[in-house]
Amino acid sequence: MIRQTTMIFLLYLMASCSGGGEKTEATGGIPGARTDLPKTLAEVEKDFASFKGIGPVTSVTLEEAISEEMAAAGKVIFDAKCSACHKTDKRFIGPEPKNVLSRRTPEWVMNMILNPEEMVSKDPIGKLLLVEYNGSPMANQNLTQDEARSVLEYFRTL
Amino acid sequence: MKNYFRYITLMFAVLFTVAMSSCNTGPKNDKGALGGNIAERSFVAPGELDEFYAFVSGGFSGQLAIHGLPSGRLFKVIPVFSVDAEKAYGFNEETKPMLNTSYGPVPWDDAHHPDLSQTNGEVDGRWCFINANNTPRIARISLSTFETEEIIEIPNSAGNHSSSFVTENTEYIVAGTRFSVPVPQRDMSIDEYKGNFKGAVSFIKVDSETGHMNINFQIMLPGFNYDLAHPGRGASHGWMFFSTYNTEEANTLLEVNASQNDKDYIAAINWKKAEEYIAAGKFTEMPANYAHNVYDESTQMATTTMMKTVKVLNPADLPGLVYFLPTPKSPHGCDVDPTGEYIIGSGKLSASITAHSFTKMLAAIEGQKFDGDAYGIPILSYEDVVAGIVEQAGLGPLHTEFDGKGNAYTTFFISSEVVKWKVGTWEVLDRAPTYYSVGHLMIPGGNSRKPFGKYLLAMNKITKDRYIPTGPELAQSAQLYDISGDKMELLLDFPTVGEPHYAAGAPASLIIPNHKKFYKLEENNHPFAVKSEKDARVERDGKNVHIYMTTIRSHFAPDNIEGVKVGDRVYFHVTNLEQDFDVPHGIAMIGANTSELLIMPGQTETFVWEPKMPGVWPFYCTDFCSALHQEMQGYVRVSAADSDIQMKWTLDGE
Amino acid sequence: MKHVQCLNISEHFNYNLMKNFIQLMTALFIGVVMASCAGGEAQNATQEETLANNTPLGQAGVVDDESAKNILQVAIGSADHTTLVAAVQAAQIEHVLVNAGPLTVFAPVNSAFAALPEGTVENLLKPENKAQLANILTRHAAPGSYDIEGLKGMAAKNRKLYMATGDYLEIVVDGDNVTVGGAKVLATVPTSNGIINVVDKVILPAN
Repeated sequence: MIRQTTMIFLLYLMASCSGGGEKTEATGGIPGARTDLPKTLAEVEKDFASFKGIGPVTSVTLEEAISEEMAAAGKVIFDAKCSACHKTDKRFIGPEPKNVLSRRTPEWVMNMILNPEEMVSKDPIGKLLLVEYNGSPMANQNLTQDEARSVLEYFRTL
Repeated sequence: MKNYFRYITLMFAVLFTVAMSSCNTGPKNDKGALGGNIAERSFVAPGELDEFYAFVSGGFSGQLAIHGLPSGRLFKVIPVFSVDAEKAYGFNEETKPMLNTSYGPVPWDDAHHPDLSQTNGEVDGRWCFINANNTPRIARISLSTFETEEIIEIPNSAGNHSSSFVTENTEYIVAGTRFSVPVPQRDMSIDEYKGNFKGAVSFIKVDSETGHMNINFQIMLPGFNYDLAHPGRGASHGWMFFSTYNTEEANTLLEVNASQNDKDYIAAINWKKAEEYIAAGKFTEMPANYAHNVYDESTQMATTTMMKTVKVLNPADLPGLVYFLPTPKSPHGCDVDPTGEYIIGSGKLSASITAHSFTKMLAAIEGQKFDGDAYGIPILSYEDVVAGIVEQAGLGPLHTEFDGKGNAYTTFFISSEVVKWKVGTWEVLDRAPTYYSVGHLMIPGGNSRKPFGKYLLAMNKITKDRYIPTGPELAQSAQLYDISGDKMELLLDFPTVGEPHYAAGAPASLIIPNHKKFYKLEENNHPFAVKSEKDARVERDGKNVHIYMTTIRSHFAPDNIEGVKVGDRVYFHVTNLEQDFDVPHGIAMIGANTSELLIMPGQTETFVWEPKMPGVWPFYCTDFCSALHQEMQGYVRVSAADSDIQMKWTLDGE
Repeated sequence: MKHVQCLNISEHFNYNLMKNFIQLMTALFIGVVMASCAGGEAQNATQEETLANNTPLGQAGVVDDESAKNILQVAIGSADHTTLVAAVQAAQIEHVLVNAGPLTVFAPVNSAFAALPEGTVENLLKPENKAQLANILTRHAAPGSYDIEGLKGMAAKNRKLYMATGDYLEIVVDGDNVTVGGAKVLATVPTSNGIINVVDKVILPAN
């Protein structure tokens, strides 16, 4: 009886602690452990299609025809909430959205808009971008998913 | 049997909860408070005293906060650069001059970096210095009275950021301009910045007896942004090191345009050489206009003197005065280890930390190994001066402090962590997360030869979910780590006043013996002091009415005053006759367009009241002084301007 | 703290049969939690001890050689008031005499206590008479600051003196002599938190 109980105790304990153990490893590691960083942005951009980013968007279907209504709404949002750091056609504080879909998947773009904190700290491309842009973090402007989708549609018109 | 099973189940449930909360190191849970022994290590039992003082910058509050460590308890907010209605700082007649500048009275500033006076490279507990960033100034605070005693304005500067750092024997406090500006100021096109704007660094001499400051000289450097500084010590005593950014000399969108160069510089300045040049007359005496405000503890009044010239050294003409040490990517923190050998530059846009060697620097200078010059100032070759690099330690390194045991601790803003590394081998030993976006850090005695490497205070800009929310504006925070072991351990979070831009710390045992308990009445030379209740009186001088008032538990003398008229300017000069520790009295007058007074025992303070209407107007004691505090009150009768009511003052009808 | 709650729960179980098992479980439980928390909560006992040891002594325990002396400090320094000080200590009302005040204390000299009927002082100093002693001493204290001039002023305005026990004592001025409740004021001593008026008699209640 006692032995059984002890076993159950230990199981409980392991279950409750396993998450913590892993976490400690990740933050407590010594610098050499940072070999997970890809070498260059150019390198990962070559096969960008496999990077969907981290966030709420897992799949985006782009219709062949651009929705003018959606793009117009997206432009209004972009001008109000994004243009302080992004010029449409050239590098500014952050990169230019023109032709972004030749470098990133639509899912990645929307996740970057919706979940930038996690994207710059965990996503392989996001981490490299943070360094490339001198540590300027992408600001979370609290767009809804629909708004982010409109902004993406606007990017297709650039 | 039923109960037995119920008990087992209950126990499992409790165990599960405890184990979950104590083990889960999810992003929010750092096993801080629930790790029992951790709570005990920052717990200072009721009646016990803290081991260290922490003098924490109030940032945009303009003030200096005093916390105890390890408890984190807040003991006092010393008003320095901003008015403080609670203490009448900047409101009473005595302290108004403290905030005078060449621009007129300025009621606010952005306080940045406190530093403590030193003797032989060790913290000596006499004064705390702190800089104002916006309208450049440096203040000196007495660690006996814990009051601001002196403020000196810095001319030819704008954004006094690389300040106020103290040399090994408190010979100098330095100030360096964050903005380069036209010197002297003049109307010119902003586009002509490059090559025309100048960056002044100032060396403020400190009198070893009185602490009084005066600007001994300024060195006119190229138009870069001077960010932070630290003094040499030991062998490098006599040198001061300033980090720079914007060596691109951009004047717009610095976010991008000041981040173009791979390397900026750390400026190494030989101030002993500068003293030789000054003695040899190799300076220009330049017209200037800056305020020097001194509070005199004897007269209990501040006075302002406008200074009219400053000595300027031009480094292009003065060999051996300044060298540039190339340092990667806009170095922010510029920190010198306790031995004085290593100068640590944290390129804030870099992932690595650069350590320069003082010995190598001297050898490179000796060997004339220069890699060109900037505006006539020799640039040393990076390879010739670098001692080591802490590679890829994190993102956004800012500031480094030392524990005196051969270890350094650097904050990383972007990756929100403190990284411990070994001086000399440059290997990372440990890292601890901060919550969140850490700026400065402080180890008591950190800017000295002798740090007290027991605690580390990390100061965070962002707190998000760490405290119960208070609307859009949240408290910034300090986090206390125990660094006595191999691994840093987070002990405590506590909120701070304003923004904690750096702090300085010292053992309580060093400061407690010198602290002042009260002001002796016989040493009070305030011109309006009254040292005995029988001398309390009211005098009219034209439209000015001077009330010479006293306070003692629990009455004002006089407390009934008549003969004041609309249009008068009524000065309440109030002397607290108490000679007992911790017995201040306050006074406030209905409708007075100013703050209360909060008068320490033995002190005299003055407020001005301009009564607007006839009537009988009450005043009272604002600090709960005694059992009869609520009885401590009085009236002033105000009559029409043309009234012939005679001046009369009484206490209990006499 | 959670395991402490758990221990409290365990106290409610009275089954002898299960007692040993419960103890074992509890011990195991604490052991596991301690191990899992790296350090555990064994400090609870020490923490409570520390708290007990540090229970503030009260203001009478504050060490301060610089400030002007308070009523208690002045009384302790007076050779004429050793009986009064002993009585204050026996009644454990030192804290009252170091408080912010202001307070006026009528301090009977040693001979005033000696003049009481034989055995009175000894009797009052007994622990069981602490409350009575405290009451008698409190009757010698008035809220406010009244030096001898202040007392004369009160008498001139026909005011009685309100004492901390709630009674009013009569102030009689006869030439330079001032008596309060029948006790003659021999001297006035200002202190940081009020006034000591040295008196020649113990001011006893009317009954």
